[in-house]
Amino acid sequence: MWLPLVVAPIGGNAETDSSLLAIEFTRVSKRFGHVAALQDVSLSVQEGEFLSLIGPSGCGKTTMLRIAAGLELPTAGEVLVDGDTPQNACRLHRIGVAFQRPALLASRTALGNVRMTLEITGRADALSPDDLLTDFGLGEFQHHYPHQLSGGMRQRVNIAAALVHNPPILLLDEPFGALDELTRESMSEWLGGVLSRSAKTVIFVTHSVEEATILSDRVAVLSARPGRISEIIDIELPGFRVERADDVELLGGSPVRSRAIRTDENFLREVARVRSSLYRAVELSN
Amino acid sequence: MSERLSYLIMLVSIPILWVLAIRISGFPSFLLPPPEMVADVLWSERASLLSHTWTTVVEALTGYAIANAIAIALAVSFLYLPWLEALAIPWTVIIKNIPFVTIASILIIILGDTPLPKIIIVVLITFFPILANVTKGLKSVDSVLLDRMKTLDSSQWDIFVKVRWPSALPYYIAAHEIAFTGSIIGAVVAEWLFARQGLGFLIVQSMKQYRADRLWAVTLLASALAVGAYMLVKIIERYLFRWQVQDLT
Repeated sequence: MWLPLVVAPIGGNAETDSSLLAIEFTRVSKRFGHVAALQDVSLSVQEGEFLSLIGPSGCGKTTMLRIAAGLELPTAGEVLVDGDTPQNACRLHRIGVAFQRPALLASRTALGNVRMTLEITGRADALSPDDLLTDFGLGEFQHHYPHQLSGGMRQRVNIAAALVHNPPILLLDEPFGALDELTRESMSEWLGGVLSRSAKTVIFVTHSVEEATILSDRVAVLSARPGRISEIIDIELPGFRVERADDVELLGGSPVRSRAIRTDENFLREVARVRSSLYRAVELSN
Repeated sequence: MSERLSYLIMLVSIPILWVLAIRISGFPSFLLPPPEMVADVLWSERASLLSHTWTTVVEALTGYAIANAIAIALAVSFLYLPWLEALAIPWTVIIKNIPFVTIASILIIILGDTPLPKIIIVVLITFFPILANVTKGLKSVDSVLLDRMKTLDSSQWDIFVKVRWPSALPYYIAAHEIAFTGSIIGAVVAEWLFARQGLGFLIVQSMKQYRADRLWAVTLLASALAVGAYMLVKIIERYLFRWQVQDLT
């Protein structure tokens, strides 16, 4: 069963038309006391693009995400989300955020937690929480409480709660970081599948090179001390987004980049590219 | 062994141990009355016992309600006005640590044998555990939830009602476990110091008249009240948090 997520007109590499810019960091710096978390970071994310931030710990990738979410203010520079400040984008409910630790209330069921988002944002062009959970494979678990769910299920509920109000922008901070390797793999396939049917702009913070490669249109590699962008890599693999609903049917509901691709030599080549870039960034950091 | 069975064993053991204690010690019944004598007092003096119990219960509940109202109002104020909390901490330390029997004596000198000093004592005894727990509970919210609420541009009211209060509720209920029982004990002790009504007064009177049987009857009554208060909290807790014990189906 397919949800009426936003239609997916985006395919392949994004263009440099500024009207399609969803998120723009312009010479952003952030200091925490004497620590420079980010220095002079500029980055543009196109509308409908999936961009991963990867880098050694302390490189400021989470800080970048938190600034885009309006949870931190940059010390210098500017961040625009939909051409507006992150705070205003939040006010217009254009951002969905999910963190590594699921932001779920223990006393609400899976469904109750997803509904909470709508209680706050209102229901204009929102998705149906029941349908969303069913689509996420949690139909039978709607009325379970977080402590009754596995880590992977909790994170799916968390992501459902982050996108039930149908924001065009999704910011994900290591959502699968606390899960075991196999759950992680199936979760990234699942996320690819979910997003293949939408045109959401995504910034995805991760530690995993494979995860970044399989999901992203582009990967931004950061180096630490101070955090700055070391390289941006275009992933040269068929895009995981399908263009028409028919294509989804054709694919039997699985994302274009599925488990099979993990052993594909093109995929392994892209992983190697991202990994060597990451090693260079780590060297830069020391 | 199930908890229920342990309680049953305790209930059965009390009269057995009681009778054994009388046999072994050899104390005469005017010092250590047998259960049937106490039961007889409970029945024959039931009208007077009930009226004194009522006095104590009213004092305890009034004081407890006031303590809850003030403690919750203060805890919520502390959340939004940190300077108020900083200002209040030294006061709470002082008030909490003055022996409350001396405060009770002072209040009785000023206010005489009115319900007011007893109610104030109940408030003083029960107020701090509630304040401490609710203050802690309101701050125990997972920061990730607050971040999520912030990115949804949630109002402070929504954050309080949907996130903060539900997170504080387990702490609040835990406070009742200590404080609700404490309200009964507080009222009894305050009456014990000076009163002409209530279970505390009955204790003093029975002592003066060497009425050990009535003393035991009052002890049983007061204990039953305090244990009843505790059980009530437990039942409410079990109802409110019934979702926690639900198993996967």
